[in-house]
Amino acid sequence: MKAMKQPTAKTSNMIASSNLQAKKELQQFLKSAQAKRKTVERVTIDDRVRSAGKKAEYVYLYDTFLQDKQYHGILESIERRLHDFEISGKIVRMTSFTNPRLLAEEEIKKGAKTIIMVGNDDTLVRVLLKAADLDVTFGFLPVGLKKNHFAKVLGLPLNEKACDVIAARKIEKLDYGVINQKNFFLCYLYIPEARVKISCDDNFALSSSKDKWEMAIANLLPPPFASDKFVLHPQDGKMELYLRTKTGGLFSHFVNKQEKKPSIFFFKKLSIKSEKAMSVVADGRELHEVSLNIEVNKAKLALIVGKTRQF
Amino acid sequence: MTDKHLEKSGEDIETIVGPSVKVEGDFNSEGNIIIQGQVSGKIKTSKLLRVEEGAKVNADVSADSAIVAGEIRGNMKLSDTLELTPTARVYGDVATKTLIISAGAIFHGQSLMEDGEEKGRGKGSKKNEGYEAAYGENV
Repeated sequence: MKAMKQPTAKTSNMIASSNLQAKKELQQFLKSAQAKRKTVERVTIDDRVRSAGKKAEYVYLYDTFLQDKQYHGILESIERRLHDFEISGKIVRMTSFTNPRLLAEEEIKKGAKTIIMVGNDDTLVRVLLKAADLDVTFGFLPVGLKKNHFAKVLGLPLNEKACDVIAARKIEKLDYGVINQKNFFLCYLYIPEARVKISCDDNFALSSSKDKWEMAIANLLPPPFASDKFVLHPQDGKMELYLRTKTGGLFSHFVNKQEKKPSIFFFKKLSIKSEKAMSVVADGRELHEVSLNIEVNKAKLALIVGKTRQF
Repeated sequence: MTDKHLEKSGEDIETIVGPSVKVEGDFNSEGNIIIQGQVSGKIKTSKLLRVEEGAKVNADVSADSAIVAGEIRGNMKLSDTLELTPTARVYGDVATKTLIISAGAIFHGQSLMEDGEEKGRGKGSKKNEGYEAAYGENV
């Protein structure tokens, strides 16, 4: 047997240097592995979001009031039903500070094709008042029993039953109104009392022999003072202006019944001017404006509706 | 005729000018128009125009048919029928296929009535050949 050679000073130096190199290599490997893990994590998260977006393309905007415990049961039922239909998607819980337009724009960028508003009439108004012009399909899941008039108009049953309508995906394109090129309204606009000058479609002007008018513009909801025998026309590219002489106090008894009946005009473009700021209620939101320029955007809003819709 | 017309147009969209409303300008509509207030300028509709008692129209009118119970100052061109009720007052020329004037109605103007047989003639017929000029004054 050959005796083992004792390491010389030269060889020991070589071993030491190779150990250092190995250490360096190991450190480099660990660093790169750590970096890779980070990228892997990042990719996984991105993919998860992306795949959810690609798969469902649905984003559900939950209104703030749904955080209340009384709605948890309903929301669970809704989420189960959506899962059954394989249309569940990303859930975004809005706070009172959420800007629905920015939120919707961001989700559209991420690939959302359908934005479902979950809440009540206020939710629908809150979102559409800012985001009606976005190129996306909107849906509405009415939750609770109160403040859900639009559900009836759109042919939607309440709570989890509305998921069936969302799944059926019957899309109608609706007109909506643009106020002063910044605000939208889908359902109605109401001016309780004002002395105004009105111009319709730049063709004719309206004036009153009496002092003040009460006015309403109807699209998806009838005016408060002429709701009987009302037929909705939210897809004809025109809106109806209803106006009648404003009566109040003791004098209201002396006003001719005929004068209490509203005048009705159809328009695509309307200009209302007042000397003083007038109170205007657009889909439940109050504005104060001296002049209103209203234009109808024909069939621009894609909305999922039910079979029993009222138009 | 009146009931038939109203039935026919019952489901149509109606523009209503209420008693306290004044309209000035070119007033066009694709549906029926009911006037109870005042209109000056031009009125045009492809459907029925109703001018109710107490209403004042100072405009040229073009419509499918018209039922007048109020006052009109201006020329009227109707594709189908013009009916003047007992309270009607019309100051202007009228071109229509059918004209109905009730006792008591006031009509100052010329009436041109389309002849159904003439309408069916070939290309050679002149524009005015289809109308039978007539002058009517019923006070």
